[in-house]
Amino acid sequence: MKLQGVAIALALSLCAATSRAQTLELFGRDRSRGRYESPQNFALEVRGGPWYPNVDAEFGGRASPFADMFGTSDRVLMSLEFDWQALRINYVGSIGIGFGGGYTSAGGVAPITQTPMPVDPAEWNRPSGGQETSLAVIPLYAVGVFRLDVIARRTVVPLVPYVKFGLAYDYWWITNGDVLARRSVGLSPGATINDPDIEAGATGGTLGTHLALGMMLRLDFFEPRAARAWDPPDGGEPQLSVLRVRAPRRERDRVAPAAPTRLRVVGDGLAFEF
Amino acid sequence: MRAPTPRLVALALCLVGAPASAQVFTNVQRSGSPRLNEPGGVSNSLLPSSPIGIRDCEGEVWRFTVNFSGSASGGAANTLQYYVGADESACAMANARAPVSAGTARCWPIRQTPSLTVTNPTTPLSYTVEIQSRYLVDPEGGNCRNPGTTQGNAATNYLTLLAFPPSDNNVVGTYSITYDVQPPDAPFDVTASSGEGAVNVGWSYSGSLTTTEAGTSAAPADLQGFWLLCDPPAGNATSVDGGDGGDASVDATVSLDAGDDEDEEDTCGESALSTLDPNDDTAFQRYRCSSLIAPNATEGRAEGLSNGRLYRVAVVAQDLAGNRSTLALSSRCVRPQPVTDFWELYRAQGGQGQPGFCSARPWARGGAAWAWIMVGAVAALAAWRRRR
Repeated sequence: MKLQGVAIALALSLCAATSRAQTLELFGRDRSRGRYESPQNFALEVRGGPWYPNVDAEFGGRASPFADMFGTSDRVLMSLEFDWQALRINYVGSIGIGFGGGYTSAGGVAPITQTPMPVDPAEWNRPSGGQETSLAVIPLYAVGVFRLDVIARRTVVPLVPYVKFGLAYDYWWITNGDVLARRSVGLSPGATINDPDIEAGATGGTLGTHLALGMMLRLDFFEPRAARAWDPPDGGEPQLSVLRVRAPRRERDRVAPAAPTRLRVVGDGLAFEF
Repeated sequence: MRAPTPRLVALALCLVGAPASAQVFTNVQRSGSPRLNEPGGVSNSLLPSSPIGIRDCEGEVWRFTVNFSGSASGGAANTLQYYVGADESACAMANARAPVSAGTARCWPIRQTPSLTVTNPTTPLSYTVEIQSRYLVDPEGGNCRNPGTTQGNAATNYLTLLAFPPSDNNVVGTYSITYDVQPPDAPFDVTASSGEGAVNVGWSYSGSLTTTEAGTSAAPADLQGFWLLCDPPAGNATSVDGGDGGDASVDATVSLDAGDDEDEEDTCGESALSTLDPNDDTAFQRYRCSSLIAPNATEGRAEGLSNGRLYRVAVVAQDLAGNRSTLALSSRCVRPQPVTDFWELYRAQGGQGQPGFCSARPWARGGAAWAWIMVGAVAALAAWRRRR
């Protein structure tokens, strides 16, 4: 609850700060903007895509606890991002800052403890209807965003490449049944009294970086009248300017256990600029 | 505008005076219910407007402050007697008060001992009377489970104070009391599977469930939730019929072998739960192994159990009046066993991640460096903007 409160307060203060913010235009007024377009200051993105944590990379091939427990199929990561396009570099594109977050989880039946545990997961005893274990992650990040929109504005190609890079923080927790997982000396394989995490709840936050490369497809290219209808020229209230589909590629070098996503991760979503 | 007629004035005075009779019973308090302060139950006090349930009925006392300022007919009364009526006006009619010479009684004298009758009351009189819940539900027999009146198992009764003589229309005051001593339907198809120090329990519940076209169902309106019971009780060394008791640490060691015999778990014999009365609070609390589970749930988790020990579990439904259904026993016994969750597996295989909110490992410190670069870039942008 405390974390939720902080997140809400942060979001509200961000909204309050940016509601008065305007984009600074470098090298003069943006003359590439269409006569029916109002200025663009912000972007809101809703994304979804496959996700697979790179927990097992830590082991260098010696072990693969995530794959053993949860399998090798991707999970779905749903996320939301808000950007302030603070600086417009005419005619190239825009630079801004963005904040985003999402949620994903992986779960499965926990195997009954055996001494020793068989190396091959196929030999584990995982009774149907048995106790579940899961890893849940809330990836948060703050990034700098560069959108190269000169191509879409000056040519007939409605594509906007972009790059995002910044700081990432993954809040994660692992459950055993309905409660946080905890190691204990008597029951956890390999646990010793000297381990620093004995009886500590398996939850935490992991710091890392966030790099995203992507491409947006401007939907107003296909339906310009709809875009104009959303964006009357009289200004005033923020209006939807363009609607785009993006297909980003993402890379992270986060550490375990909520660690890096694979390079092959691709997400799809919608972005609203206004 | 015409002046009000004397008849209207009299009617107005009558209406103004009407609430005075409602003030005969004041400062109504309930005490002694086992529901008070029980986990998941009622905290501190039960409201007078809450229905009396079976467990309230068997252990509770209602305390009324009674203000008697004279009988309704204005004559002197030599006796005050307490009755319970099936409706608000039943006790006002002599031919409806038990015993009746013809027809069915709709008002019954309270047979609580010692007698509640007050003789030769002086006016005004203010005093406190204590009436057991069982006589507010069943004024003649005090039977909580099968009330002998014609009101059935759930209804509203009217506590009525009558003054005798001088006339038949001698109701001093009434107070409405609702009760519900009808236990809810029991769950069925109870399944159990082992967890770590726990048993995962599933059940079905029809009762008055309604199913929509979407396939969803809603819990009965007066269902408060479900409880899980375990035999042997959580934290108790005495085992269910199989002699599996003993020291918990020994049990845990045994279960690490994971060689449990599935057939053994199907035959766990008789259990104390088979004969347990769920409305007997002492026995119920001894075997309880969960907190109250939401009324729309169909699964729960019995916790605080010992790994390696054989358990029989049961599910009980409880309604808003605190009544509990008969027990629904699991079809088989289960033995909790330690499991290896993902955190234990990760650490056992040499994972170095630790709990905590800054758990970056050394080779990821580049992230922090990049963070400082980002902060610097944003600060530079802000400063540059300010200059312009």
